[in-house]
Amino acid sequence: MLSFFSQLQSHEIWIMVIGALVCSSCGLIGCFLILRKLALMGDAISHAVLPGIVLAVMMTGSLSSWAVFIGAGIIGVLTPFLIDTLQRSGRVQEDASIGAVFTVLFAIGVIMVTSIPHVHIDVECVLYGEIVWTPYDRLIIGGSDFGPQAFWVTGTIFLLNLAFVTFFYKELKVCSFDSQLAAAMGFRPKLMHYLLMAVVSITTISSFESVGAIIVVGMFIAPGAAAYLLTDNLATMLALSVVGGILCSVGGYGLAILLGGGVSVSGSMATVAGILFVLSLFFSPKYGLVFRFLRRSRLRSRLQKEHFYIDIYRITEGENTWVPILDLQKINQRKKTFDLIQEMMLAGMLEKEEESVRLSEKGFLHAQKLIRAHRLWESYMHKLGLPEDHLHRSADDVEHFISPQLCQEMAKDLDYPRQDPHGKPIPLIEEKG
Amino acid sequence: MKKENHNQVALEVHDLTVAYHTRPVLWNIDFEIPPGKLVAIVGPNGAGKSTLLKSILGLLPLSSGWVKIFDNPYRKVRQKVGYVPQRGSVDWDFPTTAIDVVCMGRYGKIGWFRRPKKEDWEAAEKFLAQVEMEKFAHRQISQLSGGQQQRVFLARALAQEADIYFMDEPFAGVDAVTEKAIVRLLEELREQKKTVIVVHHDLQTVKEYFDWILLLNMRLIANGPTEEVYNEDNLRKTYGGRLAILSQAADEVAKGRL
Repeated sequence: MLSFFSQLQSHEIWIMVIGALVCSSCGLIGCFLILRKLALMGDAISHAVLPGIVLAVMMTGSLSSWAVFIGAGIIGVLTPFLIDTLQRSGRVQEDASIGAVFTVLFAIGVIMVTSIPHVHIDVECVLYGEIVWTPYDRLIIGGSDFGPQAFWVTGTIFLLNLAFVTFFYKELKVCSFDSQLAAAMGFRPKLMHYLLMAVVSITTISSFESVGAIIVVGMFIAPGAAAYLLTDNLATMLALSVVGGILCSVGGYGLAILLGGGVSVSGSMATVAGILFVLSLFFSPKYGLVFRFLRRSRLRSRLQKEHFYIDIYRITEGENTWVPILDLQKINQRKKTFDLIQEMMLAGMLEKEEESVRLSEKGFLHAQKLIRAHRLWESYMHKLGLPEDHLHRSADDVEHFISPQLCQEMAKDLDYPRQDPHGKPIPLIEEKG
Repeated sequence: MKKENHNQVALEVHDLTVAYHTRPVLWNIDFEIPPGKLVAIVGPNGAGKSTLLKSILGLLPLSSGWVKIFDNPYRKVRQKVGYVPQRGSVDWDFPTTAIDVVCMGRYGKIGWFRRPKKEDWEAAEKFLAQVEMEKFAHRQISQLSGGQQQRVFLARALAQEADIYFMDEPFAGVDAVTEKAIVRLLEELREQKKTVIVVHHDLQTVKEYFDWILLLNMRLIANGPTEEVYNEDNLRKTYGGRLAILSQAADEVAKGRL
């Protein structure tokens, strides 16, 4: 990795900077698309603008002009408007209207590109982009070189997106979370929606020339979706999506170099975005699959141990005396019994002498607590009218989770019972300090 | 004269007709509500209760009629109005915390572009404590129970510090403890001379909780103090079959307009 950075040439740095600007712009605005359940709107707009681009090229004869911006911009805002109108007409669901509108517009664009002879648009370029060449298209004013043109375009767009999100942070938040309240308060959710769509269109179009349509679609979704998995805070989510965008660009370029040859740089960047998303899906501390699995297996082993305490307690019932290991093996498997004994001895909860075990003072107290919870629950449910044979199963689940305070409340409600419905004693626990 | 009127009427709805797409939902509604009352809007499913709230708050276009709150059109008195939408109308997986949601109640007073200040956060904390949710201030909202989410919504309405509140089914799907807490809160608001208008589903409790009732089923059936309005005759009119004609008319209008 170090050698990768030390060998970088200036045009390579430019590629990564431009890539990072595009990816971060899309990530930032994409967060709101995701939160508003409009993830596919980016996809829709990026396809639908094609006829706008072609029209502009037909009129001006060049692909890199402001006319393209304006042409695509108009269609870009028209698209969500058409989708909205179609949906409000009654019988068309939102997903169906998105699908209908953008495919038709894109199809019209394709026909225009292929049927009008003097229009030369490289569809491949629109789709896959040519980020590798962007450093050579310089911005030259009055004979002096101000760096790649794409840098200035994407940089401006990034600043625009950043300003939009910063200025309208509160408005975007309340309109996205609760548009009815926002409207009642006098914020204009509709207006905010179209402003957001306009920013999406402008971002899409500006990114087209440099990186192509496919990566834009991916970048509207992947960094935001990954950030959504990592945090419960909107501002953090926005910041993470920018970081994600930068990682996509740098990592994507590195990946393209690694794969070598004519590998598409844009494609590599989008691939890295996908990898980032999958990583957060697995490793997010709160929602990640890995941690959820760990939490679950930790819980399973805790329950297993607690059942073991209860088994020992039930055999001796009330007094903490020595229990032959053979008796415990009748309840659990042989190997599992040995493992559990080992583990609990290490934790100082169990003592062993020859072929017998006994709970330590600490272990006995823990077992008492569990049994108390179990039997109080049974008594409580019995009082609520459940027959005796319905009690044990639910108490077996609940005993591990209810707090001493709740136990105390149940005991109070039952007027401090000494026995559970099956006639077994409910242990009293002396609270210390 | 004008001043006097202000004191007597918190909400005035005149000849209000509302349609969803082409189908009329509310027909020619006329009523007035005096200030300082706990008002229940009662009626069967599809009676237009939520629609009535939303059209009063300018969230739906009116086919005809007008609404005045404290003798003014709604948009002039926004700051005096608090709103609790149905709990199911928002995405509870949104990346935000309870205290942040309550703070959103301040946004109307804060206005465009400006950020919530320290006072706003303190107020949010105070109102969250008023619904006994201060312990959950920094909890992600999806990790709250239904009743807790409803309390957060109420705290948000309190944070609007309004004179008239509109609440859309605040009792829907909450536990008994939360229901009691909400009732207590409503009574506190009444003590402060606020007007509270609640869409309510439960006929059992309506007499106990509210001192003013508005019976609705596409048209206004009755509007007045609970003891005058809550009787068998009115309830039969609201829930009985006689309205089949109105609903049929709505169907025919909808079909005719297509």
